[in-house]
Amino acid sequence: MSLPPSVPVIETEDLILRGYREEDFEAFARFAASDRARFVGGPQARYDSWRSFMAGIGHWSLRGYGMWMLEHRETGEAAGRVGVIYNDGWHEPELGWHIYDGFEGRGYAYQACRAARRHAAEHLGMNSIMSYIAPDNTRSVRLAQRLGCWHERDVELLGTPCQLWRHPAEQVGA
Amino acid sequence: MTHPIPFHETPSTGATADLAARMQALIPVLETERLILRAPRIEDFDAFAAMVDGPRGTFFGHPKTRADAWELFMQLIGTWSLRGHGAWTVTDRTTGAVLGIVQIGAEPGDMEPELGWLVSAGAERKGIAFEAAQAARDHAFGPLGLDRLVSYVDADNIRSAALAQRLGATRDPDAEAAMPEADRCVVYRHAAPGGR
Repeated sequence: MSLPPSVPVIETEDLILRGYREEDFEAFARFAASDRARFVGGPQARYDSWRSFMAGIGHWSLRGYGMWMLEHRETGEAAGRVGVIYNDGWHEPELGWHIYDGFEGRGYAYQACRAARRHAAEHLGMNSIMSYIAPDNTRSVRLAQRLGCWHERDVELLGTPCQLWRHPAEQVGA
Repeated sequence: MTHPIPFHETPSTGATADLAARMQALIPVLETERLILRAPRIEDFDAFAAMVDGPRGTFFGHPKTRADAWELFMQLIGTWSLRGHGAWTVTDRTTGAVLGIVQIGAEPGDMEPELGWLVSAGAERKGIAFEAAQAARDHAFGPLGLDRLVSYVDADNIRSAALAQRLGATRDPDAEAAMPEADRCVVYRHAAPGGR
């Protein structure tokens, strides 16, 4: 069973967006400890990652939405996280993405973001959502551009300069 | 609160509110003479942040900033999904006011399920923490079927040590010795009903 209960499951060509499982923690902690986590509050010791992992689950219970774990269909491995995060002090809910080592460069972030963005527009009442991007995170800037986003403005996120990128609206209903 | 509630602390609406409510409904509600212990909600966060901001908060996860307090708050709730136990918001059963938080936790550094408590400045010295902790402990040994429960208390936290003793817990030197150096503290072991 994935956690927390009732997290909607979304399937894409290569990925399953689902809730968390305890066995995902290894991949989660490995990413959090890596240099690539520097844009998302890391690197972080495994010890502290436990708090973040459970906090990711708690976000769902508090908000009714959160980040999904990305399960790689072919191998069953945890390939990253994508979803809507709204932490205290943030400007508005954010579409965020973390892709774990070994799953980069295959278009998975794009695939998952498209699915999550559509879900947010259709089910969460969040259309034309935004993403925070650190100015020197060139890979994320490229992905944002590919997703059709534009650099709307510069903001401070809890005291740190940051760019706010705006996603195009999804066609909802029809 | 004298300042306006910011948008990010207001509850979700629509489908997200429904999903959050369904998840929160899984968390048991405990009632005592003066208190109701219920699932933490987003609108409790400001009171929680105030509780952990200050000297008393150093005994509860040691959050240094409001962002740390936010992560701790989410973690305390997430524990329910992963472990089947977690944190309750302690409220006044008459007014609904948030008085504190009590948890059966699994925090980084814990070696066993942990009973922890924290009350707001205004709720101190009224036996609120005792009443809430007692209810959480009885729930842990009762419906949750836990076979052990400890409280980790900082060596200089005299009030929490006194409360642990009032709850009938006793120091466990073996458990203290088994703690990793960095997490070393006083360990109080709670007695399961019937005395094992």
